[in-house]
Amino acid sequence: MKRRYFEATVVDCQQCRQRTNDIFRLSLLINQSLEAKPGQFVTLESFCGGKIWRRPFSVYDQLQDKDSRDFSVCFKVVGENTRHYASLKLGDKISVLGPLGNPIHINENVENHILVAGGIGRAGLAYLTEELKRLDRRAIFFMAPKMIGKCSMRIGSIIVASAWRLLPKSKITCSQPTC
Amino acid sequence: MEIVTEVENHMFATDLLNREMALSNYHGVNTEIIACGPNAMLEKVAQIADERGIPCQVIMEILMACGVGSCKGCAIPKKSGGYFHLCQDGPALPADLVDWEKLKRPSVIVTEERRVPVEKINMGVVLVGQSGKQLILPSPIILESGCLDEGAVIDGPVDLTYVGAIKSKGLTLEPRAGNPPPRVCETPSGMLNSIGLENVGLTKFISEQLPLRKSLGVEVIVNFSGATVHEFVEMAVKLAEAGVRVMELNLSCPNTEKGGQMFAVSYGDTEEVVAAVHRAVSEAFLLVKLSPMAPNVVDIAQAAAYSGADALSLFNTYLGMKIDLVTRRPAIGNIYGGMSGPEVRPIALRMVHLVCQKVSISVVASTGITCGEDAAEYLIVGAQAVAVGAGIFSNPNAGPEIFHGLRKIVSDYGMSDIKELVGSLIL
Repeated sequence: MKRRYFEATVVDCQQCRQRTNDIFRLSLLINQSLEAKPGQFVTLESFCGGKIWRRPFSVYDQLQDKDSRDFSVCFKVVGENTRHYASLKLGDKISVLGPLGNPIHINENVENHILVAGGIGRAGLAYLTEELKRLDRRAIFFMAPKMIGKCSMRIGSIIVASAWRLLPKSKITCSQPTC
Repeated sequence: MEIVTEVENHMFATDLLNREMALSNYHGVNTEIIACGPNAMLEKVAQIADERGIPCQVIMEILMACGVGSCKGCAIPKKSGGYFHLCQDGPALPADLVDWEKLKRPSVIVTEERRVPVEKINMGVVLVGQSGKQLILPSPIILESGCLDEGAVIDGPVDLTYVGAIKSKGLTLEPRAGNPPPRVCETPSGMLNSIGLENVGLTKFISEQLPLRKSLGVEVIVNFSGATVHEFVEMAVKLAEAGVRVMELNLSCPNTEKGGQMFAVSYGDTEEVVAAVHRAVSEAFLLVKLSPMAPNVVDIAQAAAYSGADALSLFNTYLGMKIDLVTRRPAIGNIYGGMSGPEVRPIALRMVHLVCQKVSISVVASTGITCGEDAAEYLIVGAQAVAVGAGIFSNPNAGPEIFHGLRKIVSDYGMSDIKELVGSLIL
């Protein structure tokens, strides 16, 4: 699909309840659908003088309604720009370039999708897991146990469809949604 | 089937993956692994997948300038040679095709238990010059010439705690009024200046400003410029008579006997002036401040070192230009101005690296230092101390802040002495 350059309006930027308090989800609204597929990313403008690059972030989610004009990115505050993004409020403007990169190919013949996330890498897999849920595919998601119970990311329980096999709770390494 | 009732907190996601692999009969025909995280983790996942013949995709990240396929910066090496471009071929790549070895850039930051507490770290530096002469500084942070008036300290708010030395404003034999305005302008990440060496002249400096500066409680380095070799010598002798022991020769000024060419762009002129001053004031600790405008800075640095310099100050300013679009004139009255600030730091850093590989005398590096990280970069390539100039304008606490930032970096590396940082670049 064609890459476009949008002026986005900030809907909100919410802190994700985490072990640490430096993860945020920025929700943006644009004037047409971003048409991003899982695996793709966008770049956001730099607000800090002297930093000339746009910053790339995986598309965290996008409503599947074909007219939906909103999407979000999830990021960790690591420097001046991410700190600024964390402070954005309803109505603020930010330019967005996307969708960039290749969508992840979901192989029709695969029965078991095993997703593995390290650290903020789980933000890169979030959109894919939503898509796998939507397609009613069997999947299991692994991330470090220290994130259990403390993580709020819209992953939810993704042991879907017919029971994969009986898995005790402790093996499901992501818990409550709502981020 | 094994039921796990407890989850060990020290486990990584790859440990969980390994356990799952061992428990079930996954194979390549019906399973795919998709992973996202730090490269070290992805490499491990790739290995696990490879062992079981399971297809694996890894969602990677890398610094990229454009994101759309133009800059070619986002290159990930392929095992078969050549590169993937993450923005075009990725972000998800086949794990078995990535050359993980070529991506390895291990961190040298040590875990907290292995760090020396910051209070125990030695930050004193000893610049060793010719014939065993020493300049002992309690801190590697020096405040630059021309950026610090005594009033800025005495009336505030510049803080000299944790500062090892301060340089005086660049002196000339006779007083100078300086250049017509505009003398300063701002650039994207820095400034241009053409002040024109405004100063009270040697005599008034010795009688009025020198005592004031000495009263500030830190080592004073007197910076001066001569129009001829003779003038340099005359000034050096007078300063030595006034009790000045640490001097800095500013060679970025024009040699009026050689048609106005800067001393610092000529090997012969540099040799001549440094040797003459060294002969005249052999007891003084002599820093020689070079210009980055020389086409052969390494040669000039060697000329100064061979002729008696005790240390090199690298660098004076690189010339730049800006246009005032309202008047369509240069923003600087003198047309070009010296550049300061973060935007020039990469140029200076490279030159400091080049010089440090070829000279063995001490180097004091400056240009664009705003924080401990910036200072650390210069020490890592070989400088023993750093000078902060324009950085003090926006942050009067730059001295203590840079000191603490630098000390923390020394600690993060598991080092106990600032000396260990000097020249510790890994190639």
